[in-house]
Amino acid sequence: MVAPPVAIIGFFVGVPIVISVIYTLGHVGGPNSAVAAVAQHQVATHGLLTWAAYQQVFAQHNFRASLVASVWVTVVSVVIVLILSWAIALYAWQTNSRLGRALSALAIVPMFIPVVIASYSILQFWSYGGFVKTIAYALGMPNFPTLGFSLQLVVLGEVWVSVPFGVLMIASGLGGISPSVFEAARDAGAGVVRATLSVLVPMNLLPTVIVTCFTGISILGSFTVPYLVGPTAPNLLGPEATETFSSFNEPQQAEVMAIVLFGLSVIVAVPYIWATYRSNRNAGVQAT
Amino acid sequence: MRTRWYGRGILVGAAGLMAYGFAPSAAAAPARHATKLPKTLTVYSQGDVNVQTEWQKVLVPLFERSHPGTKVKLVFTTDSSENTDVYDEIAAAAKAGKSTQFDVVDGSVPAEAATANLLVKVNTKEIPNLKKIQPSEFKPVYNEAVPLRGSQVLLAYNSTAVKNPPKTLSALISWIKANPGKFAYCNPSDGGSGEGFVQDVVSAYTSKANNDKFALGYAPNLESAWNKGFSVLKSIGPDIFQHQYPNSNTGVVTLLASGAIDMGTVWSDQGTAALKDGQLPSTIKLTGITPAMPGGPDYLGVPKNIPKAYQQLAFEFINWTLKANIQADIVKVMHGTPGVEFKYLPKSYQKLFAGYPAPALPYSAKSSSDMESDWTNQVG
Repeated sequence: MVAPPVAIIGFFVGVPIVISVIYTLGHVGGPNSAVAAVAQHQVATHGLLTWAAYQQVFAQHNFRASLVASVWVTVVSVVIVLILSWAIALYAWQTNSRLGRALSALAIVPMFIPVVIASYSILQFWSYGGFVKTIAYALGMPNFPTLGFSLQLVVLGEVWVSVPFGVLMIASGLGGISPSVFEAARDAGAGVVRATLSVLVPMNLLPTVIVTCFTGISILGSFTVPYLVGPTAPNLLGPEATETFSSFNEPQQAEVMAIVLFGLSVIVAVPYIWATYRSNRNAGVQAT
Repeated sequence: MRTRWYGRGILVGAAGLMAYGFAPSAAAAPARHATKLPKTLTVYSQGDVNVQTEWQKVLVPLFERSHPGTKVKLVFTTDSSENTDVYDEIAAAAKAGKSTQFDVVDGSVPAEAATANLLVKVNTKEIPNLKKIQPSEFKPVYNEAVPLRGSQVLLAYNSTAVKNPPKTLSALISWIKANPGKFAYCNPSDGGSGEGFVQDVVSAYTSKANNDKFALGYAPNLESAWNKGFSVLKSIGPDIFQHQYPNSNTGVVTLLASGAIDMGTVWSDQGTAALKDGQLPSTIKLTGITPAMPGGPDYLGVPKNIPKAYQQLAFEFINWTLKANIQADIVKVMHGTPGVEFKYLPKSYQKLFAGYPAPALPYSAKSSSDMESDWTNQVG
């Protein structure tokens, strides 16, 4: 007997994944026959499997460029999110001042703004004829660069929507740490940076890893921000796969991209699994 | 799939339209068929708010008034992904030999369904008003669907900055090179106005016979003929505004409105609507070039697998939509071109379309998909 929750997850998550994976490997019959009936440039096999669809996708210059773009946008955005979240949370935790609390409250605000609205606002703010460009023009800098429709603006947008989660996680983690450990380190002669890196970061490791992994996964697979503020090509794999699916009418190739994205996300998730395992084990040790 | 623009609907004057529309046809249609027609016609349509206005304020109430006792049940959505669901439903019902729930389909579904031979072939016996339509418009849909309204891609330019707009495609390309940063077209995957420009350029280097193959069917092994056009498009890339392609038809209109560019390609209906409601300044003019950019109608179609009586009612409805006054109402609401030839419109409407070139046949959905993919890899 399979437990009902396992059966439900298996049916609603597992089965569609298996169907998609075998489609990318050339199985166009059975559950894939409906999508296969309309697809273009599809690879079909009568044998066990074929990697031809993967070869086709990886042979495209545009896909490779988008893959690289996805990885670097993700890495840069995650690093910036970590630095910002730590800085804001640490300032609020350390000073416990009204300004610090206001700052961390302000950092949460983007969480309550729908991503579509936020993306359009960011575009309006930075694009040609936007706020920044207009101010620069008024200050006598007509050649001030325009960020609209660039990967840099995608990074900015991703950071904007991801910082609230980062601040929430890091701040709640810090809340569980007694300020005395930090002060003890300072008394022993450590500077602020040293005390943070050697004492606070290890004690607050799990939330940091969670922020890294979850932000990374959500940025890798994001669609709205890169679609609305990003360049035509190369862009992140989310819009690229969507375009391949609907505009190019190549569902098989789009699913190949989805599986590549899945593979990248699994790699990003590894540290999270490791950190959870470690923290569970430590918790177990403490309990006994 | 061809991404048509559907702008905001113009609600003003809808009540007036109704009064104008139903009066002449009030006593006309019923009892022409010996068989008793059903009482409800179920219609599926998808589009933006102006398409919704066309149906809810014009077609549905006027038809119900001119056909007392008949109800039109409209299933409308603004979400274009629904088209795939409706298409799948029609295809699946046909496969299973079951009746589908829609009697008339509008929007982008009919063209696709006609290609798969899922719709009833139409003829002048059952729909007499078909004779008012340019015969070539039935070719892409294998006589299985009827043009209801249309739009075409035109060149929009700022008449204060550009005194002599280019008349030909090659003159346009030279103008773009001579005026860097002053032209834009949208990403062809995101908007039909960009797709129309790209098709115009690639088809200029392709033989007429092959262009017909791309328009009426699918010929992937001939598509390498496009490469010449793509290299021209790549060469003008740095001269496109910011070297970026807006991700919607509206993006180009916005650039024209702000004065960032002096020229761009737009849908005729979107451009006309934007000029009318002041979104575009009156200094912006619309013009055609040769060879003309593509355009085409939105079709109405009747699924094969519905009962005969419902097909009869659907034909009755389609015939009614092609009457001069109804077509004029559609033009008024949609700012687009009519389904019928211009000469069948009331005189005052005919002059709206002076200077519109006969549009090129748009590439088929499959050919367009490949063209968009190639453009992304070679130009974008």
